[in-house]
Amino acid sequence: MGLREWKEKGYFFDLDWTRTFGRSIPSLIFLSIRHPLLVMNANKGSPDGPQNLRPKKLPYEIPKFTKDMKHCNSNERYLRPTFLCDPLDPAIIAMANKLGAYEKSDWDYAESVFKFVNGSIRIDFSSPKTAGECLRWGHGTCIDKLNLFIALCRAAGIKARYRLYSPQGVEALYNLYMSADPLVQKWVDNLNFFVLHGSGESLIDGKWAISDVSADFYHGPPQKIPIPHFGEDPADLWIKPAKGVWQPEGLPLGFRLLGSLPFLMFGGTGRAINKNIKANYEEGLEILKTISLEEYDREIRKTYKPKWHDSARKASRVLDSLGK
Amino acid sequence: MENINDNVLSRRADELFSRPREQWTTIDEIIYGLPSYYDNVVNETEKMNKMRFKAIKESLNHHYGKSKFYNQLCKEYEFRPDDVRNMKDLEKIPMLPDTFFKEYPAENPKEVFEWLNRISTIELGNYDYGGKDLQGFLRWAQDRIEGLVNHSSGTTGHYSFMFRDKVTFHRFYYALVRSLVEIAPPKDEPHYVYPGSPNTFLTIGRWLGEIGYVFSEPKRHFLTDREISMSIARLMSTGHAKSLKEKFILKALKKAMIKGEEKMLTLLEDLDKTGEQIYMVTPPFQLYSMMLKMKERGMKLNFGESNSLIVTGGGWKIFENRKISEQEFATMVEDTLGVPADRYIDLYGMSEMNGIAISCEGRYKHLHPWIHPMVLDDNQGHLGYDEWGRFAFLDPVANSYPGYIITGDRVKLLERCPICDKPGPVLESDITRMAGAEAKGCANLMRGLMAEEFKKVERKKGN
Repeated sequence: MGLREWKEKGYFFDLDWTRTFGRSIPSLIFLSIRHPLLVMNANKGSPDGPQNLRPKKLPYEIPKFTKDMKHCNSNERYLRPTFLCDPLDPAIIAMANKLGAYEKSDWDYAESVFKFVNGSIRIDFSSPKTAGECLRWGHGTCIDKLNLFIALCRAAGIKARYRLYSPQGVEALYNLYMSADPLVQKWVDNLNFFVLHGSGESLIDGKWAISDVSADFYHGPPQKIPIPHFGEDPADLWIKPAKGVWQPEGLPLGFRLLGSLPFLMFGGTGRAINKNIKANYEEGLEILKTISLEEYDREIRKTYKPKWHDSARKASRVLDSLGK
Repeated sequence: MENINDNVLSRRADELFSRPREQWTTIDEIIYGLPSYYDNVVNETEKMNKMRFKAIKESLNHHYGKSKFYNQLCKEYEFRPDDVRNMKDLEKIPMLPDTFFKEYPAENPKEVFEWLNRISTIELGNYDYGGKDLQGFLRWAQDRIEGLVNHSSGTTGHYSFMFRDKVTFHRFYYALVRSLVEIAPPKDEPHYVYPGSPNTFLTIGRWLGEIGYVFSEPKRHFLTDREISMSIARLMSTGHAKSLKEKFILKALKKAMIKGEEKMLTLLEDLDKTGEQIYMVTPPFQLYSMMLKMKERGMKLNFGESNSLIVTGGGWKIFENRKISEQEFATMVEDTLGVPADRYIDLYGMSEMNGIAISCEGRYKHLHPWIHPMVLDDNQGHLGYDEWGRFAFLDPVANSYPGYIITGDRVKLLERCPICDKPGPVLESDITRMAGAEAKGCANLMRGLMAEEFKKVERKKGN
């Protein structure tokens, strides 16, 4: 594999990554130095919170891989394996076949993958994983779930890529994820965005369809936000880029190591966020016992308007813009 | 109706905090002009709503016209004051989160001043403070604006600063004194008892210390006059002494507090013997501590006879995770101090709001009539009455900053009080912090320090 291919596959931390980390990590370091108590409390916090939300039993079965299973083994851009996203992993191929690869139309298949990743893989705050691990363990962060979505698309011969950005979410998401821990909250309040989020793009009928697999479907009802649809840009609904978007083919080498650091340094933060996510998930399950997913979505969309979490920062931004 | 201005406190409030009639706006008509804040007959709901609406509109025009910052914020929200045509439109007014007031860039006086200058609706003039410490700067700033400056406890590392100019300060303080007088009309001049230090810019001490000056010197009593500086306030709020010096300070504070409490108990006993009327204002944990000691000693006073008033404010965590209900507390006040439930009130307020809510005998909290309360959901959508959500308010009293604030408090608003006939909407008494909101309440600063003392007394009680 030549240098050009490595570059195409996004194996290097390029300017987009440097910008993204450059505008967010110094702020975290500064906060940690300035408020050591926050870091200390973050690590002591939520001792009863789970390290991750790996289910005891997977809510799906991964079929046994057989050699006759159809799959795409191309070295073409957006179809080939990239870091943490291997469409040739036997479990990925097996699952792709189960979900209807090469049987359904590209749109229908990608939609099935979207529903599977959103409906069956638990979102949590945990160390980075490969697409295969995410599938076998049944949980992961937005990026892990995205790895899985992209790998399953590529396994079926559908080109897919990452859509990465520093996001800003609706108030409900802020309350769920960011306010779980004072350190993260202060960090996000300072920045007015979170460091990284990923949506997916799959090439269908010559157009890149944007989808977001980061939430699971149970998240919507307790937070009174709609259920995401395949091909629907989340920026219209609940999470939007606060800064520039870039669309790499893959993640850089070293992403796993770098992405593991926060979990090693701020274990309590992860537990606090997971505790919140778990409670929200359980509440979602309860609500969806009384109303179907489709019915809930139909109803909520009649009145829903995204309320972005920027009122706090809006005032600050205005003040900053006035200068000294 | 009895003229509530015909007493020494109202006259002093007039001398200290009145505003020339020709400068009155609608909010002044409400604060200085209404014969009563809490009388249902005088304050017909419809008339009051109209006055409040007009006052908010005027305040909106004031901040929109004079504050570059607020004007720009309104543009950002594509909002103009003319968009407010009816009560429902008040929901459109751009608001500030209370955390905004701690977003100064750095803890050095010059930068705080520049930040303040940018958020302020009034002119602050040139910066000519020569010192380097913030405590001195606050004193300088207070003199400059001839108003009231206070800071929060700094629990999470950042202080929140509030700067009230003379207009805001006078309106607010006049209203506070008038409220006290209306709830418990004074016989001659009552004694004012605040078991804390007035020598501080920490919100509660600053407020309660300042109100003490309405009373003549022999009639005002504080637990100590030891200075509670910003660094001491932060030390108290975290409770973690990092150096020997800080350990010493904490120990000395605790000692002063215990000694001061004994002094207070003796004072109360003396005042009770002579049948003096008192206005005692205190955080609940502090009074609880004193009442525990009184119970332990079998001490029973009878301030009910002198029509005295006991006021608490600052949260209901007595120590660690122990909470006590307001009702339970009211019974304890009656048992030890002899003050009946209708003369014991709990206040709800915050440093950003120029108004307070006082509890009635049903323990529901009645807001001052000029405050327009709102309850927001997680998406900042407006919830109506009878739903729990985030408290927000429009405060037309604020002249030096836009008083349209979203707080971190979780409240439920009822359209009318189910128990008493005071006018206006009320808050349920069980007010807590929203999930994720920072702990607040400088009234509770000393609580941690006193926890051990409470435990000792409670253990004795158990024996």
